[in-house]
Amino acid sequence: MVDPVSRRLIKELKDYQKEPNPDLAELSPVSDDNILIWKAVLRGEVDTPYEGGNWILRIEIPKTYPIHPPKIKFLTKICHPNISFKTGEICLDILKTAWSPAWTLQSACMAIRLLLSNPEPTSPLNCDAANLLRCGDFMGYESLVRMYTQLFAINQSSEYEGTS
Amino acid sequence: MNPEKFPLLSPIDLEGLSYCGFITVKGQELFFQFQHEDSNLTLRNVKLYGCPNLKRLLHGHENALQQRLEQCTNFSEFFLDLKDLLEFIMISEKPEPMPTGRYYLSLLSELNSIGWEKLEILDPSLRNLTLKLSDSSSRKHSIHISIPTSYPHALLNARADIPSISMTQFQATNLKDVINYYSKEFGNFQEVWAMLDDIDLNTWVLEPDKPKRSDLMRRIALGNHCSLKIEIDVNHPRRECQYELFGTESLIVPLHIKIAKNWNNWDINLTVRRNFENILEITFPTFQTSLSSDINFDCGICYSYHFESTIPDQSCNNNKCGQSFHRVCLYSWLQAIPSTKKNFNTLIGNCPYCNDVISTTREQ
Ligand SMILES: [Zn+2]
Ligand SMILES: [Zn+2]
Repeated sequence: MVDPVSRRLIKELKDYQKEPNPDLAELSPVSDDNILIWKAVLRGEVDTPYEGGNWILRIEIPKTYPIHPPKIKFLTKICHPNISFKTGEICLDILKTAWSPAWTLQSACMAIRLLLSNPEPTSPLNCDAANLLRCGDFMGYESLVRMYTQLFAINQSSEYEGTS
Repeated sequence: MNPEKFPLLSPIDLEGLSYCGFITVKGQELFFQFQHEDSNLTLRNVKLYGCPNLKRLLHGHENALQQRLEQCTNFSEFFLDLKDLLEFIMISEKPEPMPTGRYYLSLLSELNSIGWEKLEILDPSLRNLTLKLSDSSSRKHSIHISIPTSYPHALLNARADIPSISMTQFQATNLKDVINYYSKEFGNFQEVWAMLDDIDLNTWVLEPDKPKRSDLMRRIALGNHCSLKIEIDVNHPRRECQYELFGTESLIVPLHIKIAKNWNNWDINLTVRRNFENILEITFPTFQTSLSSDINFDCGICYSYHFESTIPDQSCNNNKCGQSFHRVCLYSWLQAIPSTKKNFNTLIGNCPYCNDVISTTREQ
């Protein structure tokens, strides 16, 4: 007998595989024997300073999913006002108070991707990036982001670091 | 304690969670038992069991009892209140007069004259009965009749499920008149019911859930979460009728344009359903065709259809959303949200899909 959380996750996996998402290079459980830990690979949007980058996300799913949101963080270093450069923690309302079971792992990842090009400098987890944005220094901001993208997210072996 | 006022309680288990006792009201001894759900000995978590007599007296007064249980701070206070309530119920109870011999005699001879095959239900008190009648299109109808004890000196009260509010109730001196009256009434609605049956048979009706013969409204699924609500005109069932379209603007606007363009083509020789199909230039999906297509019936929370022998029978009332959920799933979601309001067993919160108000109760 498959428990309800696994059943829903299997369905989400099937849905993703049935219709591959070019913006999400990968979305699947890390290993076959634990369906509660997933990995996703986000592709940076073209015409943004994230273009060309691939970011690995680690998704930790609570046993109470989808009543409670998954915990998602960046494993690949990323420069963004709302993402902690050190821990990869993401500040996004749908992963916290605005979560609803209508979201899926896939749509949550896509919301994170959308956050990349729509930063919210008022709730920063990365002060350097946020300060550049707040000063209106878009050129400086873009250069900073592009540099980190080049440094960490382009042509890096997308090896999964399995630690939490 | 005053034994007149307070019941004598004795524990019936070792843990001291269950007690039994008598409460004396107007010379009647009423036996009861109560049980705490857990070791928290408060009035909030108590189950009260009564003897048949006590149960009968409290029947219909459950709300009042619940209120008292919630307001009282201790058992003495509660039992005093319970005693008051029981006294009040006993005083207000008036025995009904028994029907006379004439009553049964008349009833028997009338049933003989209309034919016993028309009798569907006769309740054991012989005070209420249901007659069944077929109309000219073999639709089955039930007529509910209540008979006053003073019958045949008083009139019978009859009611049937027909679309006319003023005609639903009828008073008559005998059963034959009731049958004659409703046979004629059922005849008057043949065209109305033909239009509605045609809709029920050839479309997927979203609302009402189980249409009654008096329901003139139907909300019909169009697919893509869109629907058409129509109301058959009881006086001109084949004529152009009231309608409303529900759904996403982008899908509804083209339909409004079609209606504006084709409305004059309404043909009273066709059924209302066929007219709408012609005007909207579509064929209404039926429940079967919708089942086989990819319209999703799964619970919006656990993504399954079956969940521990239940199906997603709770759905969002927002026409544009209509997402369905298992009761258990919706309950646990609403419970997890701080903004959800609680009213006894009912949780009132927001649909996880469209944020409209949605409510559910815990499984009984
Ligand atoms: Zn469910
Ligand atoms: Zn809804």
